[in-house]
Amino acid sequence: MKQDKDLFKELLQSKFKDDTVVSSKDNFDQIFDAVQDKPDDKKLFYWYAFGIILLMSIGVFTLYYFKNIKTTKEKEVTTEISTPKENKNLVSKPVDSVYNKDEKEITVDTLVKPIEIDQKNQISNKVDVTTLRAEDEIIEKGVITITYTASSKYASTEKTKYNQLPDSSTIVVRKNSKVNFTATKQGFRRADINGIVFFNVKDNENQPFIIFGKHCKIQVTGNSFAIHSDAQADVMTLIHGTAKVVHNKTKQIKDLAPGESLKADSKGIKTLKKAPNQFAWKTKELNYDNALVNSVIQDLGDNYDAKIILKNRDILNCRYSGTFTDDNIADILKELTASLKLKLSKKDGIFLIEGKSCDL
Amino acid sequence: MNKQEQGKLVKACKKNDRYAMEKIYNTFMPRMLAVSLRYCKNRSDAEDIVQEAFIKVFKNIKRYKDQGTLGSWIERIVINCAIDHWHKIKKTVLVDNSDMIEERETHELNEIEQEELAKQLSVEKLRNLINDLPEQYRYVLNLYAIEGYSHKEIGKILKIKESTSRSNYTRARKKLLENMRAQGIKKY
Repeated sequence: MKQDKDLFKELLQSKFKDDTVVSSKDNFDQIFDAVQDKPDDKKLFYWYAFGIILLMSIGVFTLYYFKNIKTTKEKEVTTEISTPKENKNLVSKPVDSVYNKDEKEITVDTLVKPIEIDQKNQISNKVDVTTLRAEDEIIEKGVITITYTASSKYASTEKTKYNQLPDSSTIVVRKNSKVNFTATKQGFRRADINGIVFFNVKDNENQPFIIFGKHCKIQVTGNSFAIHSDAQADVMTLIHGTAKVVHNKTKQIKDLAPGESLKADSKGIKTLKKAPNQFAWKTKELNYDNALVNSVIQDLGDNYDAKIILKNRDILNCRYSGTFTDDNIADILKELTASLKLKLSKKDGIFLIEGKSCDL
Repeated sequence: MNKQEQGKLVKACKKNDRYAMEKIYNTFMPRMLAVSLRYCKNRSDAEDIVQEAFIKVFKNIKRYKDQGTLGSWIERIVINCAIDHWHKIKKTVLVDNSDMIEERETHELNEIEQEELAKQLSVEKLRNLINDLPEQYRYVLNLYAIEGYSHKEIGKILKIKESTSRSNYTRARKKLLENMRAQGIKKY
């Protein structure tokens, strides 16, 4: 049986081993064409895909570019025609070459008039915190909004991230704080804040930077600005540059000079004599006038992440007056404990304060 | 065509050389058509299978490494194309039960008879006899007896049970042997 099988296989294999059949037709051309199609198709596909991606990205960039340039150009035109001297020069030059001397004045007049109207229109269009209308304050859909939220863990500057806004301004969002940055359709940069935020605003006359606090709006030109906004009040300090503050309810306007601090609450705007202690991490200045040690320790924690343990809870009720102009926590605590006759020690990065309560 | 010449042609084919491709096609086409005709009754279908196989050969020539001869590589591709063709046209699967085939029904083939049959039967005749077998028997017989696949492999390739392949082959062999004997003019 086995032998039979092998013989049968052998017979078939030997018969068909060198079997050939001559083909009646030559299909090589078709085969060659089909072989050529494949790489071409693949290559073309990649090229098409690449082309489409390229076109799409060019489209997006152009759209973005023109959207930005459009507003800038409009503003440029306004500044050009706002000075009357330049105006006349600009307009009368081509007129000279065409008209006679007598006619010159008339032509200038007629040409200047529409420009004046333009000027008025342009000025009214220019966004300013004092002229901001209610409808301007509504964040429209379709504009880019970026939200920065800080964690509740750290406050110290070492661990604070300096975030760059799309307009290359930098912001520092402090512990438990939040910023919504929006490039508005009206052409101004809008920052809605909650908590403590520091801004380093990149100056751009054509796109004013307006900070929306709980009680007021602030237009910042130029540099550093720190603000603390919560339900009770907006507290702010201007470090460099200029700022214009408008109260939401009273419409009171106040210009802020560098180094000046303001407080805006539900009643109105008040000037503060000294920089608020919330900004000590930036201003390196802490001011106390008969303040509770509790608030001093709170400020040190909020500003410098200082870890302090009090052996005696009553120490918190002590009062302190004075100014710290150093950001070294050890030095500040030394000064504080010395004036209150307390004992200061440090272990594993934690400051320990011992002593008797001041009330006794 | 010696191995060196083949190697040169393959290299040229990899560079998309038309002349080299045509040379390979003309060299191997008659052999591949013969292989294809063992699987496919219809000559035009067999030619289509060969054409498809050559397209695959040239598209995948970059994957060909000098292991084994070029001819056997192309032959395997032709067989695979024939199997694909079968899957396309297949409507029913023949399920045989080997138990039904009785032992005594199998006629024995001895060496003398094998020699005689080899002499008497031309390749064309033998191919026609194979073509007279039902489609599935033909594929199983070709793959098992000529190409040397195991029943397990055939089961996978044709998507049938291994036992089906085995019984199909037994029946096909029996039928073919009978027909071969009937065709053989001289009796030993």
